[in-house]
Amino acid sequence: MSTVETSRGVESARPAMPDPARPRIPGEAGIWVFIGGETVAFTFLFVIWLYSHSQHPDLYSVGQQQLAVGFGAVDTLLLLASSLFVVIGVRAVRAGLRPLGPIAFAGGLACGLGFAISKVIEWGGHIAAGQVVQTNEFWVYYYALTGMHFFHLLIGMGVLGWCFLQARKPALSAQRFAYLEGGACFWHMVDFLWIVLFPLIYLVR
Amino acid sequence: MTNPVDATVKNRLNTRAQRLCVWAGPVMIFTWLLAFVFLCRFVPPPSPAMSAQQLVAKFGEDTNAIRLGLVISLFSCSLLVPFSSVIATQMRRIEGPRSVLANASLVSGGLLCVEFLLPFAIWQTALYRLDEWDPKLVQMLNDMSWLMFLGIISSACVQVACLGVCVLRDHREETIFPRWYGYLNIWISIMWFPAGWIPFFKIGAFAWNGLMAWYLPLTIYLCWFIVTIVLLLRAISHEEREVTALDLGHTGETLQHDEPEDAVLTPLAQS
Repeated sequence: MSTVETSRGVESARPAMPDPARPRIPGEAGIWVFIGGETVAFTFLFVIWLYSHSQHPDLYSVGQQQLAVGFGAVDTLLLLASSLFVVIGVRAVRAGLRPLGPIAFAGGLACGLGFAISKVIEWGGHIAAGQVVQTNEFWVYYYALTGMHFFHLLIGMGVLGWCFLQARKPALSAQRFAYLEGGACFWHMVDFLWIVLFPLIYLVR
Repeated sequence: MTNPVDATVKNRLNTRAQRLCVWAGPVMIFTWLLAFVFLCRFVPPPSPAMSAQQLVAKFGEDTNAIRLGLVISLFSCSLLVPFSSVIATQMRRIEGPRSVLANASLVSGGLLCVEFLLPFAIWQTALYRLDEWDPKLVQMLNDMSWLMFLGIISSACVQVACLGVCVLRDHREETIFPRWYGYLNIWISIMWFPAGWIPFFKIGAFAWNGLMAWYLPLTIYLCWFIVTIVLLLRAISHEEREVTALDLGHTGETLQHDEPEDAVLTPLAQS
């Protein structure tokens, strides 16, 4: 790691403001291999859900009535807020606004934690009501899809924690900043996937 | 760059053995897949929802073909170890003497090999006295095999995750593996994750015969092999040319005391 730290504190090492005239990829190209792969995998999940829904409309209509839409809605708001925090954080780091950057990333992390707690309470309620994976195909996919998303959320929280630590540094090299931006893109993907999952699981009848 | 590669460089870098280990990878994956598909006929896998009697009937169709497929699988899957070894060797070029990620990746590759082999032996047990045993026992052994074969995916996840992190930590001007390969490995590690959850599911895409737990991880594993083989061969050739260029640049000097040369050779000398 120390090799890229040499430019720390040097004004010219600050990430440049984006030039609107030049096309630019946020983060580095490699992170988009990752995000593209994730999107494809979740597309499989969405298609599986829709196919299973069309095969068992009765199971799904009963199951969806038992879901707590309130939890889903709160989760959505939390993730939207977290994405906003992350956008503010990246901009603050780029502009060199010292206290705002880490605070914004901590805010994003707190929203992510809120989502995780809300999801665990939601699952706990269903399990207590006897609605478990083995109940029927609706619950198989409910737990599988929300579980897969939850796993990505946990990874994303680790990434945000790393972004928080980076944002606390006095200055970042352009390369470091690209990594930070890549981390932010990963978090936006976690948010985006939930934005698709929420209506799909809770609302589409 | 266009200099012919010196024979002594080949010897010092052990490139013939390295290439041999790389080719162990495709031999392993294709021999195993052919045996698994055409002899064992485990693609598609027997459904977890199948009754014990149905399973025994399926195994009874051509028991010797399945036995042969399992024996071939047992031999071919051992080749995972040389393949993991050459991956770790190239990782050591990135990490230098304290090659913790390379070690973790190598050991995980070795464990993965064991986790591949044991389920085959359990299937062999199930078939050994197929007609004498209670169908329930055959079902249990088959369950055990699938749960081990697919469910113990964590070593594979750790192997590719270590490789991915190591590639991303390569900060030299011309990296040994491209950076996207680092992200690809971390993504693959995540994509294998659903296979670990098969104990919860008997139906659907997350059961051991489902899209997310079997077909997708398997397809990704195949693609990972192909990409990894190409990149390993490229990395080995690149190292040969690099060292040859250094040799020609320092004719008459004692190479052992040349600093960049040492940096390249120390990890290899260690292994």
